[in-house]
Order: sequence, then structure tokens, then C-alpha cells
Amino acid sequence: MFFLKAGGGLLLAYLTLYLQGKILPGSIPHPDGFLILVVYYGVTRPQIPATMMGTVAGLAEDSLSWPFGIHAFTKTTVGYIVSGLGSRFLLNQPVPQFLILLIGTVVEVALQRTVLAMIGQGLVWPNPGSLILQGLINAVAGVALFRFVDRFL
Amino acid sequence: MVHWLSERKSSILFISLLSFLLVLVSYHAKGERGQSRLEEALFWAGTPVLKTVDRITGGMRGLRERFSTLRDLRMENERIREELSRVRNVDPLREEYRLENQRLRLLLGLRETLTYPLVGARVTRRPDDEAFQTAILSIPPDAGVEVLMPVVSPAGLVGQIRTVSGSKAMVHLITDRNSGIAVLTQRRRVQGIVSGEGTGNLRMEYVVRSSDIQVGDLVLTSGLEGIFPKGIAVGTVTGVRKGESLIQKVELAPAVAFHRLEEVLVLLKPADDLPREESRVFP
Repeated sequence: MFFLKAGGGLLLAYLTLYLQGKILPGSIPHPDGFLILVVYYGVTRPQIPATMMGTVAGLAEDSLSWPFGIHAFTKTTVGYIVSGLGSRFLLNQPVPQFLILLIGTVVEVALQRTVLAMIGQGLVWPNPGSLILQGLINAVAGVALFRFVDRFL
Repeated sequence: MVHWLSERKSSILFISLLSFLLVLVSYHAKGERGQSRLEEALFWAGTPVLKTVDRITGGMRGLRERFSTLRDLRMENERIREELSRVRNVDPLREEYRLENQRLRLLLGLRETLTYPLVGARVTRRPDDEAFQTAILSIPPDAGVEVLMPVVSPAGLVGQIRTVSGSKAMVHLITDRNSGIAVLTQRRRVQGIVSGEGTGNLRMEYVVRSSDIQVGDLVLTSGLEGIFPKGIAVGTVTGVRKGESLIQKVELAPAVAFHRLEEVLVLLKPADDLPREESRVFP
């Protein structure tokens, strides 16, 4: 069941990412299915599966963008940190999950841009307003999805 | 020792994964031309999913078309009343076909101008994040599309093929920070190198202070780097800053609206294989 759920989640996130790039004009904020998946595994699973899920989800996301490996790096980190927090605090309620998704989005983007700068790609910070908006979209979509999965799957 | 390791196995796994991924990112970001086996394998694994999505969305378009026809038959009276609005091209489907026809005509015009092998491709995924300037193309299988081949649109230069798998290809757009295109201005033939700003815009580098560059100047490929043919539009100068240094900063707006890109052409041979005069797109 674990692998089925994980595989289904990955496929859904992959399809969402592809369809967003196909249908929505660029720069319009949209939910990051892979981040939501990684945070879900972070709050519900121990550190090793959550970290592994971060790597696998990131690599799947990387197959549609460049430089290869950057999303795997950031999502592995998010998975590890969130599962670490999950083992110390109670994160099965909507409010902490909302906050984790919001902060997770900001941390992921900050980490992404920092790593890109470290490897000589230049430092480009996103617009703070659109970053917060992106975080709120992830948080709302994520909490709704977590409720749905916990109730029906 | 074993106890110590088993207590920290998640941290050890995390650090090992991060180290491996950091090496992987650095390797790819270094500007290595071509694709790694892992990248190729993942892109290949995702290709059937992408093809299925394309088929479903294509099918939905057909369904919408049939539904529209059926509705038209059943509502003949209303259709007559709507004659005026149809004449004005407000029918969304007809408008869609008209615009597609317009774009394809432009592509056809470009195909006739560029007198060497080309293959048409549909853009199935556009860049959705400023930091990652790539797009996915749907290409005819066995068309001969290979890594590093230039991609153009009627508006100008799009980028270069990065990964190919069956009927899908990933394009590295010119707006990426790692791009480096030899260019010249159309008006005064001032040469430079264009690369992405990482924000969707471009900058022209290595332009000496005394060079005559003005806002509005059209910038074209010069073909000197041996990859892109000469004369393809790259962008328009939007800003020139002359500071203290000997080099001036030139900002460009790309000629291509990447977020609206739908069809492109892939040049099946790199520029060096072609006669220079034949590769000219603009006078």
C-alpha cells in the first residue's frame, strides 16, 4: 500500500507539473505537487522514507527542467527537515501543516537559489510577494489534499 | 560503532544523498554539453506519461469540436441569430483554428526562408519558473532531432535541444543563465555575447563603451559560435548603461514570447555545416 500510494502520488505530481507547464502561462503561481507530496511523507513517515521520497520526487521533477538534480537536492532537504520536525512535534493538524507547507515553500526556493548561486548560476531572488503567494497556494492545496488522503485513502 | 551508526543512519543517508546530488547539480550546471545517463533515463521513463497526456488533451479537443458541431445542429435558429457574431470571428473554435493557421503560415514562411533541413515541433510545456528556463517539445519520432540542434520560431531564436527521447525533446532556452550566443546589432553591426539574466530577460556582454548601441536596436545571431545560423532575431535593446568601466551593460527583451510559444522549428544541422549565405534569415 505504501509503494502504491507513493507511486500514485508521484505520478499525479508529475502529471500536474507537466499540465501546468502545458496549459498555464508561465509565472502564474500554481501548487507544487512534489513539495506537497514530500511534506505529506515528512509529517506522516519516519526520516528515512521521507528523505528518500524527497530525492525520488525531486529527480522526477528534475527530468522536466534544468540543471538536473537541483530539485532533488532541495526536496531531499525538505523531506529530512520536515520528518525531523514531525518526530518531535505533533504535525497532524491543519494549522501546523499549513505553516509547514508555507515555510517549506520559502525554504525550498531559498535553498534552490542559494545552491544555484553557489555553483555559479548567479543569485536571483524571487519577488517576495509572489513567493508568499506561492507558499499560500501550496499550503491551502496541501492541507486540502492531506484531509482528502487521510479520509478516503 | 555499529550502534552509533545505526542510531544515525537517517543523518548518514541524508548527508550521502545531499553530497551525491550536489555533485550531480554541479556537473550539470557546469555547462556540460549533452545529457547524462541518469537524466536521459528519467526523461525516457517520463516520455510515455507525457505522450499519454498529450493524447488525452488532444482527444478532449476533438470531443469539444464534436460537441460544438452537435450543439450547432440542434440550435439552428439560434445559430442564424448568431451569424453576425460568427462573422466577427467570436466562435472560439474557429478563432483557435484561425490563429493556429496564422502561426503555421508564419512557420511555413520561415521554413521557406531557411533553406536547410528543418522539422516542425509543438511546444507541450513552457517554462513555469524564472529560474528554470527549459521547455518540452513534441517532435515527430525518427525525425533526426539530436542534442545541441538549434530551435527557432518565426519571432526569433528559441534555444537549443538538450535532451531527446522518442517523440519528446527538452529545449534549453536562450533566457537561461548558461546560454552564450554570439550576436550583432542589425543597425551598427556591434558584436557581443548574449546570455540569460535568469529572469526571462537577456543581457549583451563584452560590448565596448565606445560602441554605438541604442534602445530599440535589433540584435541578431552572428553565427560566430558555430551553433546558431547567422541572422536570426534574438531580441531588442531595452536599456544601455555606461558606467565607469570600459564595457557597457546592454539589456535586451527576447524576440520570442516564451510563455506564448506553441510551434517551433528544429534546425536539423548545426550552423557550421551550412553555407553562411543560405543561413541568413534577415537581410
